[in-house]
Amino acid sequence: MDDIDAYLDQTAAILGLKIDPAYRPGVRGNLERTFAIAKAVTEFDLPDDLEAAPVWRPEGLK
Amino acid sequence: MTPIELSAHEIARRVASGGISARAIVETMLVRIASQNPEINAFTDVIAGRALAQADAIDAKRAKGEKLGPLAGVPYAVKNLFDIEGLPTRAGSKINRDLAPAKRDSFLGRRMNDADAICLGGLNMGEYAYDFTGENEHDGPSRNPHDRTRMAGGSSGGSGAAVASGMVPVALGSDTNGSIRVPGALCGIFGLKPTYGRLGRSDTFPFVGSLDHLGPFARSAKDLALVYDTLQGVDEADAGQTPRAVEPCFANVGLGAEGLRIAVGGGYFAQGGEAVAFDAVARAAKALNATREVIVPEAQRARAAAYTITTIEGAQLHEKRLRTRAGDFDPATRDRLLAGLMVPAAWYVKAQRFRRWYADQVLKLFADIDVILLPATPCAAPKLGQVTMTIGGQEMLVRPNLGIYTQPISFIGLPVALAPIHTKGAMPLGVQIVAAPWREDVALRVAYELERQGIAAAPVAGL
Repeated sequence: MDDIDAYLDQTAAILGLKIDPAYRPGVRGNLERTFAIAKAVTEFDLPDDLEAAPVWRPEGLK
Repeated sequence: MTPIELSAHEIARRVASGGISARAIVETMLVRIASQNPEINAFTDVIAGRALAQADAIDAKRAKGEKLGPLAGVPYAVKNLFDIEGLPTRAGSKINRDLAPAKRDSFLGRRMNDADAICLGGLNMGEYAYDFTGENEHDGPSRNPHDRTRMAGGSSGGSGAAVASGMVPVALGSDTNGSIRVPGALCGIFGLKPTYGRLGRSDTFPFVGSLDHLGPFARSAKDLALVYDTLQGVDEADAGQTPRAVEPCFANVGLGAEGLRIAVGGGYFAQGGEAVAFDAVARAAKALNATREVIVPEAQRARAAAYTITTIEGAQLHEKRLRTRAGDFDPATRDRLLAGLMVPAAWYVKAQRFRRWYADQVLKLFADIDVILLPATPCAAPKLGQVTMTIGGQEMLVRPNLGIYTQPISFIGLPVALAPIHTKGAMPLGVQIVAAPWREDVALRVAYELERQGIAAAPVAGL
């Protein structure tokens, strides 16, 4: 069992999420892929004063 | 030209002038649907009775000398996540078939109906719009009209296939990460993903509220503009819409590209795809005399952030169904959504904050350019059921990777017109024409110019 398996088991247990054994390989594969992809976001530094956009203005802020 | 090849604006012109009846148009399309749909599988519901009744009402209005709407007698159909009065809004799922029938058409459907367009029914789609293939476990795949062994693209696969096969001249779809642009490209038709917040989304089944857009498909840029003009308007029930006056595009769509500063996307958008995808962009660039290259900064990270927001927001939307009816989902959707429930919440907030940062960087590019040309997909339509593809010697999954070039753009809501590029003997591809926020008019002008020069076209498949 690796970290992803352990994470999946613990998180699903805490969330009370029953994952059918038949779905597990697919869920695990997607979780692993998401973790790999999201790294690009989590490792990127942003200034503290940069807020998400509660009101989205496609043309940007002035 | 056969009646099924007529453009929407030509149908409206002929119906308004009495050259043809709305009933004749609808009957022609119903015959086309009956002959094409059993194999193409674009329509999941055909509402023939309602369509014929509406056609008769339009013909009666004309007979009485009343003025008809700008889409008089134009048949259209909607991705089945749009409400259609009297039908449960299935959104490509089995589960939603248990919903009560919709009480009225979607906001955009009502805009179309008010313009005297005629809805013929609902269109196949990837389950809950979490899809780039157009395949569907419950309804079967939408098939590509240019090669029925291939994918139509998704998630608006039925919308792409219905328009490309001449079953309707116009369809509506949705695009969260590329679901208008991918099937538009793979099916070889025009599509418009407007600015985020431009078109009202009420009475449609959502996927990722932060990123969901609705928009039209057609077989010409002019038709896209005509329909887009009709669809604009304030939707009081859409929390994501930016209140904005109607800005008509149709009258100016033929202005040409003269004076527009057009660049081609380099870096991320010039790698990771097959040569044919970049050739399509090069052909468009040459026709437009676009020699400048522009780098969209951090596009790869933008895709990652869009992916993260999508999986978490989508999973949250479906949490109850995942807990109670997991077995009724399409397996491909279910496994991704279940995984999405377990991704840390802090990552979602980070991705949303990154969205603002990235938007600020990309918007700077529009200080001295008007349009960026990008490929729509890394390859032409894969085979139905194909799980992996090899691009540049690298094997990758088909499902998430068809949207690598669309995802970083919809992420910040920029408007995109999709121009289809056909090569004899080959499957079609698409070019994204990306403009600054609210400049759908510019994107549509460029699409029209490519069409005028014969670079972009959307012939009905198989005629």
